[in-house]
Amino acid sequence: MMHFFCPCCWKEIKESDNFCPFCKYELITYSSLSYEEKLIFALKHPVKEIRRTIVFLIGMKKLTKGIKELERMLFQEEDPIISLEIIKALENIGTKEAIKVIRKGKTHRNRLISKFCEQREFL
Amino acid sequence: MVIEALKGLFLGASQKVEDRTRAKEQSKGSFSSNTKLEVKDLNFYYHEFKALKGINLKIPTKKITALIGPSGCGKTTLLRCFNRMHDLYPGSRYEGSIIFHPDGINITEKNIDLLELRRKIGMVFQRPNPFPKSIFENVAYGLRVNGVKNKNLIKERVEWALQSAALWDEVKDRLDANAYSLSGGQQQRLCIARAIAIEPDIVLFDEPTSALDPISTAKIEELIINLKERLTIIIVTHNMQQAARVSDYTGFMYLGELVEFDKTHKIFTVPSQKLTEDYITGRFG
Ligand SMILES: [Zn+2]
Repeated sequence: MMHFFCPCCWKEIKESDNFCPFCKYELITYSSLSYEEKLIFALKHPVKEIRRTIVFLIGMKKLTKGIKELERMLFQEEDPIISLEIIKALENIGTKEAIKVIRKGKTHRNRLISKFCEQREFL
Repeated sequence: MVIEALKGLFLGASQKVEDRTRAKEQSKGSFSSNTKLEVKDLNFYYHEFKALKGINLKIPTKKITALIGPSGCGKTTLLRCFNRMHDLYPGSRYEGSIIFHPDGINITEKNIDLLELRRKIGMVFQRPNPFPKSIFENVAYGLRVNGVKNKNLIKERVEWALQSAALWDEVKDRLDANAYSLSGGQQQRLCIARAIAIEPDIVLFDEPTSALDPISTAKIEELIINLKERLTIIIVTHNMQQAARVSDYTGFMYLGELVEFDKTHKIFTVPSQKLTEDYITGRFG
């Protein structure tokens, strides 16, 4: 009923595992991470809905540590809904660095996303 | 077309709702934190199975409270205690109390009037469940059952409820059409209109958008936010982003226990429990 995932490779593992049987990640390391670090790990979550939520929460938290990973995702993410969520999160974070990424988004191969970046009024 | 709709979703609806809510909050000044439901040491059993364990919780008046957690954690079970839905099935048993303020009635009391309770605490389900009747009759039904006979009054209340459910403009010219002719999202708004027409104190929402597309979902979320002006709302959702977007308070449940309850912003930005952190960040589910 309940499913547990390795926070490093995100394959399904047992709750009792100390090491991930797939990628050998030591799970005790994870429990010592801060919530911020866990959020950034979770940007690679295989479930789209969760990925989108994490992006949203990084924006809600104005987590500047997440900007680099959001930038990587913006250009790799297949789902445009998540890409739009990334831009909104960057907008929420609102630092110079975050806005720089939105500016880069104007060259995004997906027209919807590049246009969405162009329309951000502060650019 | 799709692009326009997506843009609407991101630029329009949610942003406007946020701004409006913020403005309202500010105009109200400091909010009163009175309690609508007070759950005290609640245990709930299905036969031998203890589904809820020692729940203590205060549901604030005219706020939106979200209950989140993995499936089987007890969130829907708790929601169904509030209007004694479990009584429809044999083998359910309550321990502890749920005090319904300001009257001070204990909802878990054996002999309370269930019809009256459900008039005050309405419910909207996962899948829209309109009656096989006209749009008008779906909303008028609850009024008639509650003894409203005046035709003009019924008409007025139906229009008001449909307007409050943001459905009026779409159906005002076809109130006699069968409710089944509506889209899924419209049917769900009709069910919300039906629930609010009799002016309950509380509306319980059990994953109200899980069967809907993103655009219908955005409409329902906006509607729920607007409803808290008048009512207390409790929503069970498997969608954490929805909880973060619409609710004021959030409770995280796990294995029948309430692990953490706090202001929504706090739960999602600085949760106090490791278990909450791990659930939010997708370690289990
Ligand atoms: Zn792994």
